[in-house]
Amino acid sequence: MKKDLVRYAISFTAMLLLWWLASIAVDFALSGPKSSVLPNPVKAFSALINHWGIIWPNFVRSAIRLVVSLIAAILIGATAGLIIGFEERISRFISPILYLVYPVPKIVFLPVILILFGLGDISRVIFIFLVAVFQVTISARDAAKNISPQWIKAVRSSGGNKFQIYRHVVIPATLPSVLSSARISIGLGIAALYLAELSYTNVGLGYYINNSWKVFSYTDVFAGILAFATLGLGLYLLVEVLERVLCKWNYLDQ
Amino acid sequence: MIEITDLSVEYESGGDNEKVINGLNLSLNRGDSLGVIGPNGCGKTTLLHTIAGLHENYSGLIRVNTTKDKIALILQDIGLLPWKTIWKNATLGLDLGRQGDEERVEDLLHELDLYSYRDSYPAQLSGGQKRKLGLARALAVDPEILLMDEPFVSLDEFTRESLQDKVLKLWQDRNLTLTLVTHDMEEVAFLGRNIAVLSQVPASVKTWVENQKMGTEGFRRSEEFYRVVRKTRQELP
Repeated sequence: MKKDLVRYAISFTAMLLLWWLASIAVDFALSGPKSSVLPNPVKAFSALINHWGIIWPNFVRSAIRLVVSLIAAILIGATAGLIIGFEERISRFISPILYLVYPVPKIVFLPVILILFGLGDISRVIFIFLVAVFQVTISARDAAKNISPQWIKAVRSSGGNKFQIYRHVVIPATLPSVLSSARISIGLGIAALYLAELSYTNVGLGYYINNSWKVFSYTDVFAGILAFATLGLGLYLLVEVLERVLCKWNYLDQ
Repeated sequence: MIEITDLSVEYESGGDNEKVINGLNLSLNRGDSLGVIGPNGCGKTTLLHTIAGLHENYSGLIRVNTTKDKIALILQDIGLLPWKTIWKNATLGLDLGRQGDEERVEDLLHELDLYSYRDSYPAQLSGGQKRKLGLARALAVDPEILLMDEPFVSLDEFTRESLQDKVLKLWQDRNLTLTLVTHDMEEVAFLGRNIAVLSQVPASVKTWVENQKMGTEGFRRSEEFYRVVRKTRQELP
């Protein structure tokens, strides 16, 4: 754990250094108002702290939209994926639909969602859910397909029924993959959240960043980006902690 | 008691049905032991799994004079669940609703030198300890019939003999009806009072080897033991 912290600190410092160098280069290369398009980390962090009172309500609203969408995507996606992966007959019917829908960029559905569910939070939650759910479903399905038949036999030969096979084998065996896909979904979800907050709303980090672009307040843009990063980091850490608690057996050497 | 009459088992393979067991007959009295040996892929494991109720597509008759709850199977690769601790693996049958009590499992883990590992995970055990845990899990539900599929495969000679001694003692102490499937001629001679040599696939019993002195004091080093091993070797197809 201590080594992890040291590694994180080194990476963070290196990133700040590169950011700083890039801002100097941009400042040097461009002239006029454009030169401040990439503020240095100190300016960005100062804006984040100084404008926290304005950023906070946007942060909370974005966090709620994202967390609700991701929880729904993980619960529904994992359940569907486990059933599709473990039940051969269901897989034969559902897998082709998955292959058909998964590659379609979900942004194309946003206007339809907005018309059907209105301009409020529900539409944005449904959109982020749609972006994340397929990732989780496919990961859970693949993990369920690769479950060792010996584990199933162990439970069946000990008197286990179908429900008990799910409880004692399918769910714990696929949990690491589901949590891994949850991690990927956080990244996808934040990207979708930004898109979903660009229009028809006046609250959320996406709105805050977009609004700051419009008034050329680049330090506020980066303060918003840092707030997004904080939100993502918090969720990553949460998944990491969950994984270490729920999948202790996967971390025996650490 | 196990009584099998005219058992045939087929598998579906690439759209065709492949017969793995064909007209197999055998019977085993309560408290007796049976060693099953035969060439690779001849259907030994299928036979055991069919008795354990893991295969439902068979023809013929399988009669056991006990309930399904009192049949325990030790799988070839044990099938330990990596996410469960040693204790939770050992008590799996109880968690699934089979009868048994935790005190008995504690005694078993003590007897098999596993108790100090009760909060560890299977990945932290040696090969021999994993085999012992498989044995503990099977015995935790106080079975009347114990089915063992290659229970000590890929263990070193010393560990294998020590575990065979433990199984022999458990069989003698608990009046278990034991059926063991193995490739190992010495193992089948040491633990099987009745030895069934199976034919090539589709399997049936090619011949029986008598082994009435099995389990007696010093049997492993006796001339009779080596006679049974030689006889079994001669009969193998």
